[in-house]
Amino acid sequence: MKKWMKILVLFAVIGIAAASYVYVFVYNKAHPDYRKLEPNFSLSSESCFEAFKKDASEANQRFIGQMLQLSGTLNQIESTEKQTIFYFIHSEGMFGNEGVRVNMLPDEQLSEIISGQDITIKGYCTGYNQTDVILEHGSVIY
Amino acid sequence: MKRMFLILMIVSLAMGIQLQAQKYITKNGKIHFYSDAPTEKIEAFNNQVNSALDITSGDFIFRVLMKSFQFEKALMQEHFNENYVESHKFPNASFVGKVTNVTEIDFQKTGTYQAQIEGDLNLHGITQKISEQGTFEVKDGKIHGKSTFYIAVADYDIKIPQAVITNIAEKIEVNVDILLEPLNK
Repeated sequence: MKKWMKILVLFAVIGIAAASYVYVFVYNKAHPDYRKLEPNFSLSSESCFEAFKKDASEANQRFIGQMLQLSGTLNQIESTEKQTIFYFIHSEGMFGNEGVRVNMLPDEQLSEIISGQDITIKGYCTGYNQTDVILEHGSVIY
Repeated sequence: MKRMFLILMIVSLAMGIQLQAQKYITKNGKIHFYSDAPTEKIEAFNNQVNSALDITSGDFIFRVLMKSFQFEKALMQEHFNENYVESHKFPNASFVGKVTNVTEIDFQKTGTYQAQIEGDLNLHGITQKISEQGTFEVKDGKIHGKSTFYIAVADYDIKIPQAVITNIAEKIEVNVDILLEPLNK
């Protein structure tokens, strides 16, 4: 094989490898495994709710996009067709109860968790909708 | 006197029940958006939309957290939050408006009704007046609202880099699906 041909093949191989890498590990990269992520903040559910209620702008800067570990009394469990939702209730407003809403991971084992028990959970904070502080991808910490 | 007091009590109780029943809410409303561009189809779901409707005044509101939109691809979700809607700066989107033909809808009678909705949509820190059609299906004491409409990304100052201009549609289809229940305090 001629030298220029070898160089051409080499460039083609490198190009295909680079494109494959970008396609698999960048374009199609997996969502984080939220269960394995370490919490950035640990606080009570009430402190978290109060922080957003007192100064939503400051709390947004501090907590949105962060993994929060929250402790408190679980007041309500709601199951929809796709997910289980935990509520820590701390106030009441135009939408009824207000507090921290945690959308639990779909494969989380929750059969032994009951309303009224003290619990510690972690989840990814997406913000405060003027009613509830929302945590996604929640999991129970035992 | 006792009789008068009893009548007043009954009237007050009835009015209280009626006032409560005037507001319908959900915290589990669904919004789905779909971008159909030449080189890529992108969609995302948000299943925790807060919405409230006052069936007497027609007042209607939505509140949506931008970071709660879930995409199939993690990269798209990152780009959506960091580059396009800048969720760290503008974490909420909201709609505050009215069902303008609320008097034409019989919320006590089972049926599907056309709704004309007008108001202010705030997204990415920009507020635009919108006027859209939807339907309300009244059934079993609940109101099932649905609407499909389009928003132009340019109207909300969402900048799409030239390099990916063919990946994102200029107008995004938005599907709203909410099941409103009476507010019982």
